[in-house]
Amino acid sequence: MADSIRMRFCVGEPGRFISHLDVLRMVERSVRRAGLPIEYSEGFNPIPKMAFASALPVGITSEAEYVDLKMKTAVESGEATAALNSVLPQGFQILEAVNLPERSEALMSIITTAQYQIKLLQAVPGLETRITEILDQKEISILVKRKNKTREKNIRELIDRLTYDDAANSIFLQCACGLKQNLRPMDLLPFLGLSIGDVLIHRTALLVKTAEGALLTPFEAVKG
Amino acid sequence: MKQKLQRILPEVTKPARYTNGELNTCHKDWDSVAVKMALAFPDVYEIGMGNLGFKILYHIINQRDDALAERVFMPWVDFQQWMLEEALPLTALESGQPLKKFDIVGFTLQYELSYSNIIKMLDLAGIPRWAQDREEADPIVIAGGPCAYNPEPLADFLDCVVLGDGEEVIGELLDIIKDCKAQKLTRQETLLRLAQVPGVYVPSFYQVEYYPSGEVKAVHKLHDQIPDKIQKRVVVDLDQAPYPDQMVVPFLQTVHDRVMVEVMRGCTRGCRFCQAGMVYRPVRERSVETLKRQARELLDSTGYEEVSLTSLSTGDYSCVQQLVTDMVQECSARGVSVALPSLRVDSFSVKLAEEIQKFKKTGLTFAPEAGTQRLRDVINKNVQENDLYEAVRGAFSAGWFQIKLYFMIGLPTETEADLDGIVTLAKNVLNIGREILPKDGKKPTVTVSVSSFVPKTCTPFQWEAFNRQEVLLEKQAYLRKHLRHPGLKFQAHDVQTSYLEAVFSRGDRRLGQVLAKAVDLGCQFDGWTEHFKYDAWMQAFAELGIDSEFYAYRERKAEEVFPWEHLDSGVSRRFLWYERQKAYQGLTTDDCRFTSCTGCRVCQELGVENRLQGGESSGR
Repeated sequence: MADSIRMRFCVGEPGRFISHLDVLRMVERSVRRAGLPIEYSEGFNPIPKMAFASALPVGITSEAEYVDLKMKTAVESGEATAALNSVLPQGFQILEAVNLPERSEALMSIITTAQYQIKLLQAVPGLETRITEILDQKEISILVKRKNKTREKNIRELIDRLTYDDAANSIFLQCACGLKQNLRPMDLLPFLGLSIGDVLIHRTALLVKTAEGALLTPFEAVKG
Repeated sequence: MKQKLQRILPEVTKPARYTNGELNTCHKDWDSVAVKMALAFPDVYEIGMGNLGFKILYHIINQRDDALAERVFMPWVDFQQWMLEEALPLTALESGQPLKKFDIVGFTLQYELSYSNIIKMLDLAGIPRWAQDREEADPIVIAGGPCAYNPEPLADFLDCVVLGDGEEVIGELLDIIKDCKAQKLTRQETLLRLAQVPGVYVPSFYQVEYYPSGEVKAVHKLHDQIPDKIQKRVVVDLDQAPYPDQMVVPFLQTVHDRVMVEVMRGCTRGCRFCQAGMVYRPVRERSVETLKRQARELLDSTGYEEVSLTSLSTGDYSCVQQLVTDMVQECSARGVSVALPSLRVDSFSVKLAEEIQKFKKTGLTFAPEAGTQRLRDVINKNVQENDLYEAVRGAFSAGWFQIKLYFMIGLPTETEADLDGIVTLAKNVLNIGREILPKDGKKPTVTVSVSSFVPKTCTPFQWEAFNRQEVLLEKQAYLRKHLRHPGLKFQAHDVQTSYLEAVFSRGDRRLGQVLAKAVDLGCQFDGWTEHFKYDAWMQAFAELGIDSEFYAYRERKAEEVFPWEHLDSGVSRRFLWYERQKAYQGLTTDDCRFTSCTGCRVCQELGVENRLQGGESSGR
């Protein structure tokens, strides 16, 4: 058994309102409270060896957050899960975990895709038409601000799938997510005629697209 | 309401300020608890969550089965806008109940510039801002904290004020309010009972009489049963005092976001400008064993990565060497670092800092406060020039390369020579750095940070005038000019905010009207540069025909009745006056921990004494 554990966790209320940096700190402190033998980086300012899959935008709940924890000594994944779940604050829970084989690829670098359920708080007429319009276009530009620079970004090419399910009163979105290409689901809302207050966004999956185009979960990707 | 909140949260900055659900928060069944108290901090979440007194009270109240404490902070302006649009009242975090439904709303008075926020919070809560307008069902609005020694500008907004150590009084307060509720006593009856608790001041039961000149003539009590003077409460044995074994761990990064252990309370160094050094007397220390146990418990329950050894001057703790050695040993074993937030100006303190901070040495801060020995003697800051040079020599030798020096300008008797002294000290410190630090490594920098002296109540300088703003600006300009030098940096505190602080720190009840007016004119978050509206404040004074300079620039007469005359910190007025006389003669006063009683009277008045844990005295 190797010393790293990959965990999937969910983010609920009020966890969805905290930033990625805050989640990092929260997990670090939880690991301490759980007494897990996490490994620290060498150097002046030791940092626990934790690697997250992707930063969840503030305001979104999730059942598909992933983190790799590197331990000083081997800990069985089920034990680590139980230990963490007994100390995690409200709104966070470990859902499953596996011990990783040696030399697994870094989580952050393998993630390519995410799936979201965008639940409408009220019925919105004409959504299907808007979705068709979006999908018919070649280019949908948004302005992205980074420090002082503003640049245009085509988000149409980041959308894999966009559907509306009447029964669930929800929009389902599959889109690019990761270091290379990334779509924040809230950036799509104005094109659907929605604002952030009209919806609850929930991340249902974080996936790895293989060269063949198959979609794997970060757990499946380990075996492959 | 919850749905409205869900709608608002995604739209505001730092929504986690308003969500609650952090680790170690206490959620009690609203209906089954007899007394409900909202702990209100009149600033944003990140500031309020760093306050130790707040944590202690939260713990003590929630320990009781018959009481609950919940937190509420000043919402940021964007959230206020949403509250207005959605018609949401200010609510407490834990239960989401409106503030109006609590039995007690307790504000902490940390600094004068948060007064406008207190009124704003009452407004947002829908609680009548003026105490006299509150009805039977409204909460009792109380306040405590360092500014409680002159709460007079807030007198008409507060139902009662607690003087001294909150953990001493809070239990009695809750008992009485619980009992009054059970007996269905009226608000006035309840307040009258509270006014008889030692340390509790009910402003509406005291009437202030003024001379035509504007000075206070007398303060009259309106009931026979209540004291002429309200004396502060003191924890006699801090080692046995209740202390949280768990603390709320915020999701957001807050100030002092770490385990805090309170090493001691009080300081008897006797700096003549320092209010904390007077009002928190005497010195009461916790034992090393207690502190280690508390740190252990808190680390277990929070998972924090740092422990801070908190006090007004931890370097003066009688067992500081043992504490630091033990704490560092215990903490490093679990990957936790130790922080020493207040550093004395001497090489001993630098050695302690070095023991703690083995790595990542960047900046160290020292506070000589004044530029010349003469002026340091006047303010009784017993630091010699050589202490500072020894200290920075130690710091540079150990690898620190950024030194920050804190000074005050506008101190009594200050002359140009004292400003020149600041420049000389800074340059000498820089030169020491250049001598010591390797030529090919980091270059030393010295930052001179200058604030304006604000005379505070209950200090030997409570009679002093605040320097005129234009004079302070000249002094700042002079320093800026003379500190323009490679390796030196200069920072100066805003003069207008200090002016307002000077007005309110020694203000009287008539300023309540100004506060209310200023809030109506949009003043809030005065401590935040981007929100401070000096012109609106001046407009408020002008419209009410109240001269702010009367409060700030006027030197008080020796025998003048102060607006806070009926509030007693235990330190005698005679002692303070005597200290002021000594200041003008350039005579220093020793620390009573290391010599003999200096006659401040606090021990005799309150029946307490300095409680040191022994060990070799670390003082000079």
